[in-house]
Amino acid sequence: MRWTARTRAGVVCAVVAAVFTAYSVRLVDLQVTKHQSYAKKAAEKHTMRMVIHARRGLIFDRNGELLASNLPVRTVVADGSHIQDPAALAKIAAPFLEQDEGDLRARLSSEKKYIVLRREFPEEKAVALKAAIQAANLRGIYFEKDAVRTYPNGQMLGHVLGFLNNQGSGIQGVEMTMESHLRGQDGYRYIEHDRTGREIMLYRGQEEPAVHGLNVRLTIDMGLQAILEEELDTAFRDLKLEMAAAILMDPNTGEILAMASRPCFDPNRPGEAKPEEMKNRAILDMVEPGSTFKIVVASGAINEGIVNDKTSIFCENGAFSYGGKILRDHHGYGAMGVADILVKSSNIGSAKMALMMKDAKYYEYVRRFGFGEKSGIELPGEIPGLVHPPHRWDKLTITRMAMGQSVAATPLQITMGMSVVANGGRLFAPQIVRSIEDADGRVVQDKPPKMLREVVSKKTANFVGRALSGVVAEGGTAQLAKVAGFTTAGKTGTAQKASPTGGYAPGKYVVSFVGYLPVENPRFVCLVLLDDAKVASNLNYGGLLAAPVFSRIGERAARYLDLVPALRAELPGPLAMDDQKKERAN
Amino acid sequence: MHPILRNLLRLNWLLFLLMMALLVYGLYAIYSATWMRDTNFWFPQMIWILICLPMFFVVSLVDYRWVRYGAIPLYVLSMLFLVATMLFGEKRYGARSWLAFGPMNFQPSQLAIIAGILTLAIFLQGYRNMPAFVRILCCGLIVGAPWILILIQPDLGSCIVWVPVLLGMMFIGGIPKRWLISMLLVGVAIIPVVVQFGLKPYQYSRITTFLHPDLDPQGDGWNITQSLIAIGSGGFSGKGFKAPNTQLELGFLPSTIVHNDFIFSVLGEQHGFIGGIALLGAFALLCVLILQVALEAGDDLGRLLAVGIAMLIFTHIFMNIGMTISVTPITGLPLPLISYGGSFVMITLFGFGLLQSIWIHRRSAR
Repeated sequence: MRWTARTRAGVVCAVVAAVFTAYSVRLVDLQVTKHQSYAKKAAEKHTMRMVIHARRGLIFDRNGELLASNLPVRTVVADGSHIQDPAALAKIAAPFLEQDEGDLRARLSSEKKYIVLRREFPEEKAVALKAAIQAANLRGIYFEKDAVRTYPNGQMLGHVLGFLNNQGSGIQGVEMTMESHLRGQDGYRYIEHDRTGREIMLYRGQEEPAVHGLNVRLTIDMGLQAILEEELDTAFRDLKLEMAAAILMDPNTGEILAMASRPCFDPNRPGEAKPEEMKNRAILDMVEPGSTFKIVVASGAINEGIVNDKTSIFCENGAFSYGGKILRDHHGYGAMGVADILVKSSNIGSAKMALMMKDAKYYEYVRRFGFGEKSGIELPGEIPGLVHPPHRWDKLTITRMAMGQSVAATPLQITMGMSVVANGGRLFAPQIVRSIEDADGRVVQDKPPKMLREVVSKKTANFVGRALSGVVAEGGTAQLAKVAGFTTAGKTGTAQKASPTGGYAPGKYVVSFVGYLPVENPRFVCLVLLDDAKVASNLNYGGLLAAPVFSRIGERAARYLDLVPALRAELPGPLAMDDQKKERAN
Repeated sequence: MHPILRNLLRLNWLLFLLMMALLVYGLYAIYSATWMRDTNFWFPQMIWILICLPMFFVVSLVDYRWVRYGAIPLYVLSMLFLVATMLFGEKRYGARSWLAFGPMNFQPSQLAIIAGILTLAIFLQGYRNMPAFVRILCCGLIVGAPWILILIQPDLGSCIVWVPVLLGMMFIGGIPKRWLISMLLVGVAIIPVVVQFGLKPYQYSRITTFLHPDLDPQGDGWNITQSLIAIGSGGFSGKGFKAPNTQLELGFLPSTIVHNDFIFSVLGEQHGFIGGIALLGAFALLCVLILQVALEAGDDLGRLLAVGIAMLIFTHIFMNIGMTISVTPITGLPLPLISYGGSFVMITLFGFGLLQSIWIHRRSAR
C-alpha cells in the first residue's frame, strides 16, 4: 500500500496530538494530583524552623548575688536541603569553625534539614562567617541565638551550683535538681530565606515564643560562703589534706548558708575537672562520725529518762570488758555525769548509756536524728549513709555505734544532728533552694523551712547543748574552737579512715569539729571535716586541726552576721595536749 | 489591488495571529521570569522581534520556490559558519556553539538546521526516482556534515532536533515505510551503545539525572528538581503574576537559563495547570496549523518544507517542555516564540515566513 501525502500528513498530525496529550496528562499529574506534595516541597525550600532558645534561668544567692548567668553565643546549624555545593561551603566554613574540612563536607552533604555544626560559637566569629558565606554566594549555614552558662564566681560554690553538659542540661548540683525550673521551653519561628540565605523579614511565618527559664534563689549567703571557702582552702593547703568539707547551716530553719568541699573545680570548665574534684563531699562522702555521734546516745538516754543530770555512770577506769573485748578510754575515769562523759568524750560512758537504752530504742534515736536516710536536700547524688538495723548487729555493735563507729554518715547528716541540739530538739529538712522566681523577681514557688520531726524535747536539747559548751571551755577537748566573744558549743570527732581494702587505714584519720554559736540563741551550725591531714599522728585530732578552723570561720561569720558579742574577748589558753588525747575515739 | 497587498491579505491569518500572540506572550513570560532582576530580558527580545518581523513579511511575500536556488548557498554558508564556530567560537555552558558578530551573538547550528531543511526539501523533491537506498544515503550525507560539526561543539540538543526533522521529511518525501521503520529500529538499538561509550561525562550525567532525578538533587538533579517543584507547586490555577515567594522569585530556578530553557517552569508556577494547558493547546493548534499548510501546499517542495519546519518547531516544543516536566532529558533547546534568544527568534520567524509563503503561493502555477 502506498500512502498518499495526505495520509502521511495525517499520521504526523496524530503523533503530534499524542505527544501533546501525553504532556497534558503529565501536567495534570504534576499540578493537580501531586500538587500538595510539591507545594510542601516548595514551602520547605525556603522556610526554615528556627529554634528560639529559651533563656536558662539565673541562680542567685539569698541576697540576690548572681551565681550563674548566660553569655550570648551562637549555635551554628546547617540545612542540608539548602546546600548545593558542600565542598565549597566546607572550604569556607572549616577554618571559622575550626573543624576538619573533610569531616565538615561529609556532614554538609547530608539532606537533613537541621544539622548542628557547632555550639557556643562566639558572636563576632558568627558575623564574620556569615559575611564570608554571603560573599561566596553560598547558603545553607545559619546561626541561632543561644547562650553559654557562666559562673562569675569561678570555683566558689562550684559543687553546689553544678554545670551543664553540652546539650545544655544540668548534670550536677542545683543546675541538675532545678533543671525543670531553670530550663524553660524552647520556642520556634518559621522564617523564610531567599537563595542566598538572607531572611525575608516580610514573610516571617508563625512564631511560638520561647518560655524562659525561672530563676532560682539559693539559701546560700555568698559572704559566708567566701569565709568558709577561704578558711577551708587554707586548711586544705596547710595540712595537705586529701579532702575536706565544711557546712554552715541555720539550725532554726535547716537552710544551708554555705557549703564547700575540697578538692574543687571550676564549673566554667567542667571538662578540665578530675572526677574526684567534682564530688560534693558534703553529701556524697560516707565518713565514720566518731565522737560527734555521742550526742545521739546522750540525747536519747536523757530524753527517754534513762539518765538525768544527776545520774552517775561508772567509766571502769578506762578499760571496760564487754562481749569478750576490752573497750578503752584514753584516760581512766571513774564515775561521771552525762555532761562530763560528753566533755571528756568517754567511750565507755557512751557505750554504757547505749546499753542502758537497749538496741531498739537506741536505733530509733539514731534514725530520729536523721542518720541512715537521705536528707532530701536539693542536690543530686546524695547518699543515705549506713546505719544497720538491730537485727544485723552483733553483740558489740551497740557499744561501737555509741562512740561513732560501725556507722557511716554524710557530713550534712552530722551537721543536721548538731542542729537538732542547737535549735532545741527539732530536725529540719536541709534546704539549699529558698525560692523559685520569675524574670521579674516575683516568687513563683516559695520553699518555707520544713520541720521533719521533734527528735528530743527542748529540755533535753538544752541539757546536751550546755554539756557541749563544756567541750569548748577550758578542760574540754576542743578549746581551740572557742570563738572570741561568743558562747560556743560543739563536739570534736576523730575517726580512723576506712581503707579501700577493708578495715582501717593505719595512720589516716578523718577529724572533724561540729559546733554552733551563740549557745543561747544559735545562729549557725558549722561543720569542719578534714580528711587525712599530713601531720604527726599525735597532732591529728579534731580538737587540734578542725577546731581552730571552726574558730576562725565562726569569728568571721559572727562579724559578717553582725552578731553582738556576749562575752569579753579573751585569748585561748595554752594548748592542752593531754586533753586532746582523751578525745580520740578508737 | 497591488499584488503585494493582495498576497498579504492571503496570509494564513489564524497562523499569523497565533504566532503573534505567542510572541507577545513570550515577552510577558520573559518579563515574568526576570522582572526581579537588574537585567530585564524582555526589552532586547522585543527589539529582536521588531527587527525580525519585516524579514518575516519579506519571506512570506516572496514565492518560496526561490529555495531551489537559495538552499545550496545557504547550506554552504551555514557550513562555513559552523567551521568558523569551531575555530573562533565562544564557549557557553560547556559548548563552543556561539559565534559573535560584534554586539550580537549567533548560534550557527540554528542556521544550519534551516539550511539543512531547505536542502533536504529540494533533494527529496527533485530525485524521486532514485532507489530508496541511494536517497537515504544522500539525505544522510546532507544531514551528516553539519551534524558532525555540531556534535563536535558539542551541542547534543541541536543534534537531536535533526533526527525527527530528517525522519519526518523522509516520511513525507516518499521513502518507503519499511526503510524508515528499520532505520528507527537500528537507531533505537544504537542508543545504549552511544550512551555507554560515545557521551562525554556531563552528557552522561544528564541522561542519568533524567532517569533518576532524586539521586543527586543538590547537584546534577538541581535544575530538574527545582523545575518540578515550581510547576507542581503552581497547582491548578497558579500563584499569579509577580506573586511573592515563588521558587522563581526566591532564585531556586536556575537564574542563568530561566528565561530561555526553563521558561515553561516559570509559566507553570505562575499560571498553574490552566496556564500550562492553555499554552500546550496553543502549541498543538500551532502544529496543526503548520501541518495544514503542509497539506494544502501547492507542490512537494512546499509540503516537504512545511513538514520540515513543523518537525523543527514541534521537536523544540517537545524537548523543551518535556525537559521541564521531566519527560525528556535536559538538552537546552529553547521554546519557540516564547524563550529569550535573538538568533532563535530570527530562525523561527524565518521558518514561519516560509510557511506563510507556502500558504500564499499554494495555488499559483509552477
